Amino acid sequence: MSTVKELTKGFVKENPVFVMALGMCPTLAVTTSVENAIGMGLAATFVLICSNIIISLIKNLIPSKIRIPCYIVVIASFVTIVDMAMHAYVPALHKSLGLFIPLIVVNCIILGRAEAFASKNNVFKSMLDGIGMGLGFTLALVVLGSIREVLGAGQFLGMNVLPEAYRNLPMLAAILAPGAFLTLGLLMGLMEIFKKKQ
Amino acid sequence: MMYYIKLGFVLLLISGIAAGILAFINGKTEPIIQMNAELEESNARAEVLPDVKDFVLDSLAVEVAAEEDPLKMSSGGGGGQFYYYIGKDEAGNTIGYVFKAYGKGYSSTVQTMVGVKVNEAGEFVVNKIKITYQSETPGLGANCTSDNFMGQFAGQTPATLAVDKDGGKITSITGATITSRAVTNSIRQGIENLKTATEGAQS
Amino acid sequence: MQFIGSMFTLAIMSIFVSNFVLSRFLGLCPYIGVSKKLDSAVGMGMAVIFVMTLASTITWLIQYYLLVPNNLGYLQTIAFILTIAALVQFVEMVIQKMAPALYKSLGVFLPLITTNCAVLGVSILNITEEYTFIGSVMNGFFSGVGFTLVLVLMAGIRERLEQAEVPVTMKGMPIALIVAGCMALAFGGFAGFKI
Repeated sequence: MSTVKELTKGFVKENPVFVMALGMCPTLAVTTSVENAIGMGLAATFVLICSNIIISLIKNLIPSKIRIPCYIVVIASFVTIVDMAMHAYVPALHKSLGLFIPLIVVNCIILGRAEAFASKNNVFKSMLDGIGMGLGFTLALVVLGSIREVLGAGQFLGMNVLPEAYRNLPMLAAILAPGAFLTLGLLMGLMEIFKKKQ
Repeated sequence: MMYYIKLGFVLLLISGIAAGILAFINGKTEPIIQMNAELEESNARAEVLPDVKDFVLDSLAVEVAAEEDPLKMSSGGGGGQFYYYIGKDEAGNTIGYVFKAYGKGYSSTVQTMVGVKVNEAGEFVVNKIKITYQSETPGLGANCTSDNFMGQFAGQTPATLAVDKDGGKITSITGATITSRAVTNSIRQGIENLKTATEGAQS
Repeated sequence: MQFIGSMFTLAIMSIFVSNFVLSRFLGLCPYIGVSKKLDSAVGMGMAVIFVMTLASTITWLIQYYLLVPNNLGYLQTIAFILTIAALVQFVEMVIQKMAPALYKSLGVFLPLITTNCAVLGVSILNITEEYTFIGSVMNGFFSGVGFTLVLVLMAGIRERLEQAEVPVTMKGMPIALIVAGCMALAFGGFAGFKI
């Protein structure tokens, strides 16, 4: 039971983006299309799982005074690995995510989970937590990305979903910076309503 | 004191292990990254000028008054040397030319691969273009990679290569005149350079 | 003369046109988190300007005198983030010893800055945009100013928002994001601005 809970708490109840408001920068910046959202989400999930595992493995070896720098080194290594792997195998996606791949290092979700969860729990639980939180993050990105891509370009994953008349004159603001803030604000309000009802 | 040395040592050890792992992975991925980049370039060349058997690299030192920004290291491929490829068919005849144009757009330097042919009147005509790098605003300038925009360059000569606002035949992207102008002007400038280069070679 | 001109352009570009928060989406956590009170927003802003300028300076030197000559470009992320973390710690200690009064007002914000992506962001952008040494320092400083400007504006608005009648579900974060959206719309007016 608790295993399932560790895994699923990140999806809705403790969703890192909608509920805890962590990792806002990549959330808003890369959700101009669903493809970018999925790429960013999976990259961050990979880093989150790996860093959670490693940190819970070495948590007893690190003196507590320098734990944060050590966590940062572990996270930064995995980020660099993802960066190089994406550059080699999915160059197009690497190009469009650009600066935000190295910035996964300072994504508060990852350091936050390392400090709040992985440094206190065993490897298996930390891994589940990493998977759950990572997928919750990806889910949030995909929801935002879908809304913005459909409204702002009339497309979903690059396929046309709205009539051409709309695509010729779409609601551009949704894909530009203001749309990011407005969409996330409204979605958070929506989450609030759901929470009240429960 | 010993305690702090120990702290430093642990951090150093972890960083050292991390650096070692990264060096190993870098060694694995770097050749692939380079190969991909070269492959992408050669694919783009073949796309803008098809039926070519051999691309021969040539260059010309051009004096382009590049926009100098004293706060930046280089001007993004503006001045200095102009590189172009001569596309030859199996018999060794020149089919056309390919070059890369660099235009400073809104938030990035847009790079365009341009294939050019020479028509009966001896004029340079654009065969096809392909934007190989851009990082413009999504939804606006980034639309320069759409076929609608890139397609209209085919068949244009330097005389008509300008955005509609400047009296040319290229319809600029809605809300992204800067990007459209950057691409168009960089291509026209490139053809001018090509003209100088090939005339120099003939005489 | 041309130098002053480019400096002016850079200032306008990094403060208004490609503002770190509203158009590049960097440093959003403190932008939403520390903008409830005007005083703390000003304090945070000052700390960020200071650290961003310093970080730009040092990471530029590390990149071009340590990483590039030794072919260690792939260690960029790890080297930069460690430098920034160490730098923040160091600045904190120095300020605490040298200027206790300043430490009282800035101190609490300094540890937060390590995980502020604006600092790492500006360091990496300086390299990818190929700024010279002076350009990097300027870019760091002006980007920090741009960050402070929107942070302080936001805090001013949110202090008033406390008294406004906001639907219960929209209170707090959601309405802050909507306000941020409106600010981004306003700053969007600078887009396409070229000097």
